[in-house]
Amino acid sequence: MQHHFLKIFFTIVTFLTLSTVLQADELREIKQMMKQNISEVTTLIQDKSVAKEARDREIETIISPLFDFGLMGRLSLGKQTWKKISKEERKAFTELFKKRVRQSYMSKLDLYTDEVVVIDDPIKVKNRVHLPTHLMRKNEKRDVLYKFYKSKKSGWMIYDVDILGVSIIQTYRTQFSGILKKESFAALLEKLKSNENS
Amino acid sequence: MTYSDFESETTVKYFLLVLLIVGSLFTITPSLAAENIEQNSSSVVNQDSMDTVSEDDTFDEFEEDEFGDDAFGDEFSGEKEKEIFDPLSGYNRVMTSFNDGLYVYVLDPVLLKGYNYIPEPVRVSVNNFFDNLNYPVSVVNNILQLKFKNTGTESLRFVINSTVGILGLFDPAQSWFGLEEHQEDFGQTLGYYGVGGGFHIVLPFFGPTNLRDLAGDFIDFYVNPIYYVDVRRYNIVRNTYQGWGLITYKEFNKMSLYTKEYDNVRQDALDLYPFLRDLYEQSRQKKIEE
Repeated sequence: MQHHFLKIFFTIVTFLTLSTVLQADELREIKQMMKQNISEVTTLIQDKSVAKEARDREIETIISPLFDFGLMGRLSLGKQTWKKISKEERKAFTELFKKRVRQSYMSKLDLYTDEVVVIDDPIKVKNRVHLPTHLMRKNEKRDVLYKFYKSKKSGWMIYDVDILGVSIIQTYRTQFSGILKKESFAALLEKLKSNENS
Repeated sequence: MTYSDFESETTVKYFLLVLLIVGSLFTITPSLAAENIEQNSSSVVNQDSMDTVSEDDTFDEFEEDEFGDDAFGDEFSGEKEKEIFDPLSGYNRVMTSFNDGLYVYVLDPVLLKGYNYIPEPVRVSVNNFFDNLNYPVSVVNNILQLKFKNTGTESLRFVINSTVGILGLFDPAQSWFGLEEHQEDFGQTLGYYGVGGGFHIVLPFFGPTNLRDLAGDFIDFYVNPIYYVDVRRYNIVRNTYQGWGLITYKEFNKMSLYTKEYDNVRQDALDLYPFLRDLYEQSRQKKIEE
């Protein structure tokens, strides 16, 4: 009886220790991955010898695998709308959304000059991981928070970014739901296509 | 100078001195403070995870083609049409277009274009100068929020930047001593004690705010040195108009530092008003939570 108890006890202890070690490893892995990515991107930006277009393409190939644009789009649209629209509409939306978010992220990089990006320690939030980073700009601290989730297929991926405390997904959610209340889904797709805001 | 004048001045000096000493004590023991912060932040995270543990189960079932929103639902709001209370939305929309138009057609191509001939480092210094003058507002609100360590840091920053930083034109406190700014205002103090934002208001020229922050601004004016307060003894400006003039100039100068950012960010909007409203409300929320 006691033997049995001890066995269970040790299994639990081993399991717990193992899982914490794994967790710490995963956190470190995310931090390391982002550190490398960010340093690659910043060196590319600072390298003035490469033409902007070529440079942007290169940066895109570094950044793109990190983001789950599909999930970001679905989250921005919201579950109810996503269920209502047709397959073709879903496809068209995802394409346009991807393009737009990527473009907007790339244009943010144009604002970057030579600030040092500091990557702070990742924080585990439920089964997701938040990675806070910051840089100093004109004597002000700018926070950028990357939010990761673990996808079954491709491991840790970013599903949202908070810039100065503002969640990108949240801003899209508010805008999409506002537009859809007054207009059709086709109109929303039109708006996603154009770069001009009304 | 009458005797009572003299007396109140000494009281103020005493008050500042005591503040400084208390504040520096808090700053000198950073290890203790750091521990405190760590404890705080970890407890926040724990609480967060405890609240929603049950929802995690659905997350694992997330597939590419299926919708995995359930697990994320707790993180974002706005879909369930729980209307954001926005009674002024009609007016706000118009005012947002007005402000944006003002920026695009007047401020950016005319006024700022001329003003930006002044080199950026100079404009940054002007901004630093005003920031430094905001010290009374910041310190009062830090105290009201019982943030004594930040009160100390702000006081040290004020002393260093006013002297070594030549009247606050430079920020050696940050660049040499690594003392980060912790500005607080009365809107944040109200938020700290649980007062909600109330509805959103877009002011002409000054842009987005909400009921709480607007009320907070009016309270802050009483301790803001660049605003004119009749009942106050120390006033840099001579009357209300000059006070407003200075505040407008301060905002204008600040805007000149962030034109690129604004140009960039407004491109992201599908619908400018709700977008800017979100930007304002979320970033304020973050500042309150800090």
